Amino acid sequence: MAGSPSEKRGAGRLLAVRDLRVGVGPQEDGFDPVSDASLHADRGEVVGVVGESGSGKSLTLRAIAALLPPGVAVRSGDVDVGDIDVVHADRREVHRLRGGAVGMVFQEPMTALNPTMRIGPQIAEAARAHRKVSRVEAKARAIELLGQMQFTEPERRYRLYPHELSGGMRQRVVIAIALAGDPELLLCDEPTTALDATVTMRVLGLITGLAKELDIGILLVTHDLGVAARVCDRIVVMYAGRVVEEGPAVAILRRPRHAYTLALLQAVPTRESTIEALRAIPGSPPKVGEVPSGCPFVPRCTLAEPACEQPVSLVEIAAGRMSACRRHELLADLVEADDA
Amino acid sequence: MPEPLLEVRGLKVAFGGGRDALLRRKPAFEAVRGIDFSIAKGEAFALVGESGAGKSTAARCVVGLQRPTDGTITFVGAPLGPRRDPAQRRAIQMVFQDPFGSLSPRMAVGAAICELLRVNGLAEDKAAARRQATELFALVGLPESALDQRPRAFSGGQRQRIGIARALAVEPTLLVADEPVSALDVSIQASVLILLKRLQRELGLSMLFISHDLAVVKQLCDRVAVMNEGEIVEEGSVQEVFSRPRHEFTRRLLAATTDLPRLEISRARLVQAEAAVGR
Repeated sequence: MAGSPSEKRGAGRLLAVRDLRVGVGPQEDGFDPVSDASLHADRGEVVGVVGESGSGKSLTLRAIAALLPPGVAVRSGDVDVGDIDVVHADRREVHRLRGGAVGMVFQEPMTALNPTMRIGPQIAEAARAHRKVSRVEAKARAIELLGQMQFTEPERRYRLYPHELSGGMRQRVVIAIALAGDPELLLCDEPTTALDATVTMRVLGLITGLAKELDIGILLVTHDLGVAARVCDRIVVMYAGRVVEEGPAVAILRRPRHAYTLALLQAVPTRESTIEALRAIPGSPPKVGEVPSGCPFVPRCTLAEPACEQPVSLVEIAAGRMSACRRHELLADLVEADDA
Repeated sequence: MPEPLLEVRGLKVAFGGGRDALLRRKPAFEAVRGIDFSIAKGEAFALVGESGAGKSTAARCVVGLQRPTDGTITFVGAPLGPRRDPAQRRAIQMVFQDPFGSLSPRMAVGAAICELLRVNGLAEDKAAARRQATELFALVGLPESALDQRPRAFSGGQRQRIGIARALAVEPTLLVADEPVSALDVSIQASVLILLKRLQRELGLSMLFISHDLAVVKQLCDRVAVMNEGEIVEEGSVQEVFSRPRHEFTRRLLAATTDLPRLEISRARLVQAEAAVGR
C-alpha cells in the first residue's frame, strides 16, 4: 500500500495501525475477529471508528492500548503510538504509555472509578502516576481538570464520591482522569452509549473541544453514526473485522464509496427521514470464523458482482479516501448530479 | 372524535414510601406524577423521554404489570384494574426491549407459541396451533423451520421478530412496545421498524410505543407525548411536535436526535444499478 496516507509519517502523526490482525485461540485453528485493519490518527483530530457489534472496532482499540483480553493476541501487523511499537514493546514501556501518552475512556464510567474513593483524589492519583508532582500540585491539577470538564464549584465537587454523581458527570470524571496524564492520544470506546441523549451531546461537545484546545488526537469507537456525524473529522468504517472505508466524515456520510457504508446510511432513521425511505440490510453480519475470503459484505450486498468474491484490499481511491469496495466507481457514479 | 381505545387519566405511580424501622415516614419516589393520554383505534402513540422519565412505568401500568398508585385506565369503555379477566389481558400485549426475557430458553419457540394458542383456546388441536404459528412466523418474516429452534439459536433481530409474533399470537388490539429496537444493530433495526409499520397498516394494530429515540418515533408514530420527570410536558402530532416544539425540554431532546448530513446518492440510479446486477 505504498503511497497511501497511512504510510506517510507526518509530524502530527500520533497513531498508525497497519494491517492489524487480532486472533483468538491457537494460531493454527483459532479465528481472527480483526483481520485487516489499518488506520491512523493525527494531532487535533477526532477519528471515528464506526461499525456494528462484531465488526472488530473495540478489539482494534484494545489492541492499540495493549489491553486485549486473555487468549486474544495480535497475530500480525503494527501499532505505532508516537515512536513506540506497541505490539513489540516490553511491559514497562506499554505501562508507561497507558494513562500517560495514551488516555482511555470506556462505556461504563462506574467500572472505571473506585466507588470507595472521592473523585478528586482519583484524578490527582492519575496525575501523580505519570509525572513527578507534589500532592498539592496534583490536587490543584485535579481541580483544574474538573473545571475544564465543566463542573461548577470544582473545589467542592472534588470531595464527592462516584455514587453521588449522575452518569454524565461520572463520565466527565473518567475523562478528567484520562487527561490527568497529559495524553497525546485519547482512546474512547462508546463513551456515550450508556448516557441519555441530551447528556451525550454535552460529553461529545467536551471531547471534540479537547482535540482542538489541547491539540491531541482522539480515536472514538462508536456504533452510532449520529454520534460520529456530530463530532468526527474523519471516519473509519469497519465490517467483519476489516476496515472497509475511510475518509473525511462529511464525505463518507454524504457520498459513501463502499456498498456497506451506503447500506448502513440508508438504514439509519433520522429526525428528517421517513419510514418509506428507510432501507433494511438483508441478512446479518458474518459470524467470526465464517467470514468469506472475498469482500465480507458480498452475501448482503445488492451491488456485488462475481469479482467481489475475490479478496480485496483497502486502496486509496481519491485524495484522503480509502475504500475496499470493488464497486467504488459505480458508487461515485450514483452521486446526484449537481443540477438535480 | 371517536371514542378512544385506551384512556389514561391522572395516572400516578410512587415507589418506596412506607415507614422505616423507627416508624418514620419515608418519602416516596413519584415515577409518574399524574399523566393523561388517550390512544384512538388504529393509532400509534409514543411516550418519549430520557431514562427515569417514567415512560416505561406508565407502559407497565397499561399492560397490568405495575399497580398504579392513583388514576384510571379505561380500555374500550371499561375500567382496567390490576386484576383483569383473560380477554382484557389478551387484548393488550407487550413487546420488550430484550425479547429473550419473554421466551423460555428450554423450549422450541414454536412449541411456546403453540402452547400460548391452545391455553387461550385459539387453536383446537396441535395441528391447528402449528398451522397458526407458521402463519404468525410468516407474518413477521421468519421461515417455518425457525419454529423448531430454541431462542439461543437466533440473532437479536430474529428474537425480536419472535417476541412480536408471541405478542401477536393472542390477537391483541393494543400492542405496547417498550424500546423494541434499542438493543439492535443499525442494519437490523431498520428491518424491525419496517415490520412494525407493516403490522400497523395490515392489521390495523394500535400501538403504545415507548422510546428515548425521537428519530425512531418519527418513523412509526402518529402522535407523541414527551415525558420529563414523571410528567407529560408536551403532546401533539409527531409532525407538529417535531417541527414546532413548544417546550424547552422537547427542543433539547430534538437537538440531540440523530441527524446525518443529507446522503447525496440518487435512489433512482441506485435502484437501476441494483436491477442491472440482478441479485
